[in-house]
Amino acid sequence: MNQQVAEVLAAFDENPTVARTMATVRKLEALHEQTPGLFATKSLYIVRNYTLEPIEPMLKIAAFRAGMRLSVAYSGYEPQAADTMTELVALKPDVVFLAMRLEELSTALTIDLPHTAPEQIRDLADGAIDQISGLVRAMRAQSKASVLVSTFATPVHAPGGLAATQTPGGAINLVRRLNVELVSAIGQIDGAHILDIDHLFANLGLKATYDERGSRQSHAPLAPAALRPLADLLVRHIGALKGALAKVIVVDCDNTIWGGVIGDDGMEGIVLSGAFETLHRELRDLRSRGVVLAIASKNDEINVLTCLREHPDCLLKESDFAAHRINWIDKATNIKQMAEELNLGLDHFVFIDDNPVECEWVRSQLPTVRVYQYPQELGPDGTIESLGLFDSLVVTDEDRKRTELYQADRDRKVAATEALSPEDYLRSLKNVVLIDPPAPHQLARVAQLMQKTNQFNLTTRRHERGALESMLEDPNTQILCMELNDRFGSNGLIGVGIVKVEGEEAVIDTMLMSCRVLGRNVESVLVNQMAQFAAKRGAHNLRGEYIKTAKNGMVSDLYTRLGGAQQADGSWVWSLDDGAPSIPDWFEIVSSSNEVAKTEVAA
Amino acid sequence: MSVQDIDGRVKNILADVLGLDVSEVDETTSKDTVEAWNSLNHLTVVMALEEEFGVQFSDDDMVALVSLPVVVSIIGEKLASA
Repeated sequence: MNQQVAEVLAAFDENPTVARTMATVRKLEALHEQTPGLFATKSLYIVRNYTLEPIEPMLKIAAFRAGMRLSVAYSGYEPQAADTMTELVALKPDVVFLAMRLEELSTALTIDLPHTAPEQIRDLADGAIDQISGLVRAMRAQSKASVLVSTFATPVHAPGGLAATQTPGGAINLVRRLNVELVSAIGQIDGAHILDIDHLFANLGLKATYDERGSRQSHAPLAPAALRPLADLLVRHIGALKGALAKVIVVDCDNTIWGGVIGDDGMEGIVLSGAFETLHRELRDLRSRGVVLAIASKNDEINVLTCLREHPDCLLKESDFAAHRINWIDKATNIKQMAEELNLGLDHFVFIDDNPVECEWVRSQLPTVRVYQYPQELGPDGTIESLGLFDSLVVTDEDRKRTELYQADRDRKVAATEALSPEDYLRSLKNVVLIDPPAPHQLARVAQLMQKTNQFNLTTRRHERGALESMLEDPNTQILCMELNDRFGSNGLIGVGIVKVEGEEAVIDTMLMSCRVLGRNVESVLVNQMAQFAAKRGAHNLRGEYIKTAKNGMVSDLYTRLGGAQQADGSWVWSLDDGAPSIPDWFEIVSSSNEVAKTEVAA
Repeated sequence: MSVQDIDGRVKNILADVLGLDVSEVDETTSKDTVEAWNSLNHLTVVMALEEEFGVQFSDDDMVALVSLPVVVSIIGEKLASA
């Protein structure tokens, strides 16, 4: 962070009052004017049915802290009105925050609930959810903005007394049910995510978040105590839209993941309960979301590994860590080596150690690594989560399996050094390619690959989930996703191809691959399978194009290598009358849709 | 707390919230004379004053708080009766 900005924020933090929030925002905005590029600019459109304007200075401060200069605009109080869409199209915001209070949306479901006929409640509830999801769909259709949708806050006062708490239709239980339904409905919409205001307010204390006077006088029901935490949470969500800031956590062992010194105290002498158990659970949770765990510890390796393998109370096992350096070499060197081994940049690394000397050393040697001394420098509530570094709004199957993928990669590298010729090595891998149109549960991963693959991507078309779903229904279009397994395990879903047949000719709309599996020529399988689909649909030619971007230079001659004949207009064509392009003999192909051609060795 | 103390602190708050220099805030500062003191910023003015002085304004106060002199006098009464 810029020195001047850091000083302004530090001075503000000494006494963060409402008035000084306004003054600080003005100061930072002036700095931003003087220094173009000081902050990334983002625009937020708040679509709401209650007064949220008092949150603006808090939002801006939270955004500045995250390196963003946020501009904020508001819809009218009836977001369903046509004005909202007109304004949305004109404003082109990066993010929309849709904040609807149930009390404003439907009195029949809130304060008037006791007078609502029970048989109507279902319809009214469905209507409320449909109204919100309809609005979100319309906004997604007309704008590129990501949409964050607020859950409904549980009311402080609810009609019906204790008896109402006993039935699913009671006022409080109804809000709970609506929230679950809202989460399901929004989960179906690409580019839309939930912001759980209800959980935030429960944490803060519902009463403390509610401003009865504001609600009555100015439709402003949020108390000052609610505004700053909500602003912080909203900015965390905006940051999380881009994906997590960090990917790897490197932990020390002694007095960090257990109490005591394993070399001195032995397995029976160390402590794994209390705060250490909590840390193990949190690290395990992060790992299951795709965060990679690693160890840097000054110890004899066998002591640490034996503990991970055998200690009955040690929740984290050896297999939870994708890499480790347990030796007497300095930790900066060890972390650097693990970054190379995992093929991940040091700026994605977090290092946690109880020893201030180790922390300082790593900070000085590897300035891009984020270093936190355990336990005092963890987030505000003593967790890694609250550091906000691993925020992400989507978890794919791929994320869940990430550690296994890295472990298998490590084993492959070892095998590669032992093999004879490169071809023999590839044969020894026993590659099995699974290639088929995406199953429903794979669509999120396909959409994720479409959004984030930059290098091995011939056309860089960013189709979103909705567009992919319509393609699946088109008989002349085929989406293929490719998984690669080998004797070390699964590489996951690594490639996507989309081919469109237009009469005599088929065109490759999309061809992309994860860079993890480069060098096996598995891309030839994708082209081969797209060609087979095209031939079956009656096409005689398959055409591929390369659309140059700043990042995809590595595939500029891919189609030449795969045997396409380059045309005058720069595209490549394969004639399908001679059969599909060939694939190397080190692939076994499993597909339920395409007949697999006899494989032959590529030239 | 003396009236002068209250007056000084209110001036600082109004300056910070409304984007004025403290020297610009005087007896004439009111919703009518300061453009930034609109109904939305009024919510923030009230929030900031309640935070600074630890008081709660009533519905009537909310409507009455329209200028520096009135703000100072209402806060003075509240603090005296507290």
